[in-house]
Amino acid sequence: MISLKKKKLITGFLFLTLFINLGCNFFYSDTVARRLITHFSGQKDTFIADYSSADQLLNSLKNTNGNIFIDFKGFTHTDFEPIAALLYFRAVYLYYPRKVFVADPSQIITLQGVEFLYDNFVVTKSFLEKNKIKTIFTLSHSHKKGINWKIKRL
Amino acid sequence: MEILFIALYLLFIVFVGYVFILEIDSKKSLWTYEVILLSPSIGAGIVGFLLFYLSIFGISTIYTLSTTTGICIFLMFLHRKRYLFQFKAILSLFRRFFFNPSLYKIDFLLFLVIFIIFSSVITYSLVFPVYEWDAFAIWMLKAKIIFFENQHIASSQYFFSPSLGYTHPEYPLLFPSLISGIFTCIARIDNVLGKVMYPFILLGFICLLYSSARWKLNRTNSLLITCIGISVPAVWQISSVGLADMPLALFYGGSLLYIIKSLQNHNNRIYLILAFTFSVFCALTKNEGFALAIINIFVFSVFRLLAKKDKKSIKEIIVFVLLFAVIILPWHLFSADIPRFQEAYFSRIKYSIIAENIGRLKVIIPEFCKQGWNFYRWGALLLLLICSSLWKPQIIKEKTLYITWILFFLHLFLYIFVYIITPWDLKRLMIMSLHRILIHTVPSIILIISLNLYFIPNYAVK
Repeated sequence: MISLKKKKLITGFLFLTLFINLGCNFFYSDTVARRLITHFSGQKDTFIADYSSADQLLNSLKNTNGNIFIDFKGFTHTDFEPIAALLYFRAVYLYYPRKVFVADPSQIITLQGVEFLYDNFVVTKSFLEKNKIKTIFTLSHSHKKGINWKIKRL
Repeated sequence: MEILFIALYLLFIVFVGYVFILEIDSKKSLWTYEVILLSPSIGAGIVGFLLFYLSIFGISTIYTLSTTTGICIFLMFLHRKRYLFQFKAILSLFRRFFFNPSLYKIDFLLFLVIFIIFSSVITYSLVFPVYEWDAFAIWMLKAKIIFFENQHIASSQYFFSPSLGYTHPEYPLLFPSLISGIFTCIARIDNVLGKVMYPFILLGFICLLYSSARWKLNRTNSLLITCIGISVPAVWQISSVGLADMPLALFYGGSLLYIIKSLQNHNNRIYLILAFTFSVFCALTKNEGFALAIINIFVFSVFRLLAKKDKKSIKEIIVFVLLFAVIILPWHLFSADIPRFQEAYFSRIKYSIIAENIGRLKVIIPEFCKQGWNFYRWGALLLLLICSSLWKPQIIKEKTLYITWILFFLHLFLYIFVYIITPWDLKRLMIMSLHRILIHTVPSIILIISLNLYFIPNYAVK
């Protein structure tokens, strides 16, 4: 048997744990609670902003059809590689079942997701026809202008 | 209308779980609250498993869903007395829970905390885009592929396309199959509505944590322990972003609880069946789930034989192992042909690789310790685990407790071992994955804390 005092001590400690857990959710920026507060108070969530901008940029492909080829220009710099990878994988996810190509389909795209930036792949007419590509989406990156895009319907 | 179809799909999952539990529990050995609490997780596992496996065998999702519904209704009709009895028991349980004048205000408060966390996950899942890399590039993409290719999944080019290597085509498909069920119900892909499955998995997790705490503790303490479990920042976060780690934590939690229960009560076969069922779900949710299922089988076999070395025990172990192998085999035969574009962990289990990388322990162990004390990720969970264990250290001699500790440590050793043999850059991989995979240990931590409280005399017993 434990005394009432000890019982209260244990219960108090359990509640303290709960309060610490809840508190951590409100003081740490990368949590559900903080993000919801940021979102509903109209502030800009910098973490989500990258994804929202990527989706916004890829939204321009909505009115196109067929498979897509994305031509990345000017992303071969360690600072811009992640942007290219994000745009590629977001496009694959958003536009499935349409296929998104960035290189030859036999090219392995793994964890880094940026290998295709360096393989100097040249798009040919037969490649476009064979893979039923109807849209070429060119993304050009420069320090001064940021990302510019151009859509070519085939 | 689409919302209605999705609601029906979620109800269907709970219904399938409920029917499965009542069918295997012919002797009515489970508590009524246990039947209700287990239904979402068992249902999610069974529906995911059926959609996943039958699509491999060329059967469409629509056919699977309608046939399963028919079978469940037939079983309900066949054993209507059992269902009627259980239904009355559920009604009386709800009456006692909600209209009980002696219900403590604190219970309502804790219930409210759970409700707020759950609601926030629903809101978060529906408001924010799927932004976690693995969530959109692996799991959600797979769900879309299963929806589109459906009964032709076995011949899908997806599994062999090197340009989709990032999406790990060799990962099991139970969780994405469950999401693809939503797409089937609304007959289209919807990037927002597909995420409804995330809070549903959290609901199953809440029920499971409560069920494992309630095994030994009174209602107030069980609710409190559940609140502590789901308010851990990493749990709250991961359950909202669509990774397969939450479903794995859910199924692993179920397997762990029922392995402990079956080892404590040898005569009750229902616990063993549930432990087995959850272990199969683990193995088909993520690759590490397969290793966890093997650990479960190993620990169960050892302690079962230590307790009782008779024919019945040996028979049960053999049946457990054989059935597990038979159920897992089709997926492993199918996935054996899928090229490994990235890591192939099984082929890296070699003495030369282990000997070469053993020095990594100097990095891995401190990283694990640092992670546990990261309050922003884990709150005070580790602190509570340590304090509750040190309150009365001699209780470690209790069988249920030391077996849970053994399973917990084997679980950690497994992940340490994976980091030893991984071909990836260790530091980068740990930053990306450690907090996610440690989510799987939350059910064992919660169970240990509950047992620690139970063994404090006259503190929180039922």
